[in-house]
Amino acid sequence: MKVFLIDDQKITNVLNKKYLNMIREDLVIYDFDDPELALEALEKEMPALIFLDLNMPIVSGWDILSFMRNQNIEIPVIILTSSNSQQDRDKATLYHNVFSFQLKPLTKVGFTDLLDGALKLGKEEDLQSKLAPDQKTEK
Amino acid sequence: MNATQSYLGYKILFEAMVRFSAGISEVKSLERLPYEISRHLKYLINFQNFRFYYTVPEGMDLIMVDKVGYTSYVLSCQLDPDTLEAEVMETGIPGHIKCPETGDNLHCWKFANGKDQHSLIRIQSHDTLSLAENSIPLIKVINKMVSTRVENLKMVDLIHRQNRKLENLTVALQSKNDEVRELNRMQEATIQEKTASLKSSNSKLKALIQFNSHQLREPLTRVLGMIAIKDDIPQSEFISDILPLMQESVVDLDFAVREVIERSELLNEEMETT
Repeated sequence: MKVFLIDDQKITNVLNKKYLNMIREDLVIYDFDDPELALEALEKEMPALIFLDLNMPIVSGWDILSFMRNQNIEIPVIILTSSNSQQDRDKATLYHNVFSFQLKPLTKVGFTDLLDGALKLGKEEDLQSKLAPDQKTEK
Repeated sequence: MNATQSYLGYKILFEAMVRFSAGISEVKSLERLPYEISRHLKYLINFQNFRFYYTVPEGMDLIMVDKVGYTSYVLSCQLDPDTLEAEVMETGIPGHIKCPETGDNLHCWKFANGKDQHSLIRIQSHDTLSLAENSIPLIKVINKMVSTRVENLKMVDLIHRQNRKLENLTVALQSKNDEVRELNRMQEATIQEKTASLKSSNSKLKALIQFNSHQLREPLTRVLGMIAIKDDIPQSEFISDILPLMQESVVDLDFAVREVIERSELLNEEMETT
């Protein structure tokens, strides 16, 4: 199962990668501290899940969400941000592939719950086709 | 013959009376009244000197006319106590004396024209009989006409004065009105200015708060995240992978705090100067 970590702060990606690897061993994690590279890799790699920061210079999390909407790329997104503004939360609901809005820092427990949530959601909706087959083949 | 003569006499008198009446009713001011009286009075009575007194609250107004054409109007004068006029004014009895030097006759009558309003007529004349007998009804009519005219003109004067007062008041009111309007306008402008400046400071403050919260929280969450992972990974891994990166984040945090303070101070200065 492919997972993208997009955050301009390298340390955040390092921490998140460590947590994700702790929880599950079957994850292929791509981390990007340059969102532009993430944009380029998106269509080619088609990950099953994206952890996305919002406040980034040049290309913001919003730019990436808009890009996905314009390209009809349907990948579940978890927003992981240090901004707790209600305005951002409201804006995020406008993107239907955003299924969680999380405040940094996210710890081991948080990641476990989120992944469980993502898998459950995947069984009900189109996540299934992305998460479940990967899960089977990996196992 | 006698009848014709007296008929002619009345006709002339009537004619003179009409002219006297028409003349003084055309006069538009009190000052002009004595002149108009002098033009017509000589056709009505034979006189050397004619005086008409008219009571006013401050004393008496006096119209003086003499045979050679000297005329004047005196406002609010006082009667000389030793004169024939003063005596007639007090007693109300018509008076007649003969001037010892000139031999002229002085006649004086008092008339009540209305409530508390009196007039006096004093005539100095060479003859006495005509005045004393035939002229009495004539004098009464002259008094009636002159006092009515004086009363009218005084009324007109009063109305004019009041009109002028009203006009002045209107002008004063208008200027006050303008002042009030100007004050209102200035106040409105001040309020608008203040509101605009408050709105602008408000939005600047909001922007600063938003900036601050993100600017501070971002490096802080990194540090928190690094602390949180400490118990989840081996100590050697923490020391090798995480610790070196922690310093960078703490420096970022320190930098953010400084910038926040700097921006607040800048905004403070800006708001104090406006």
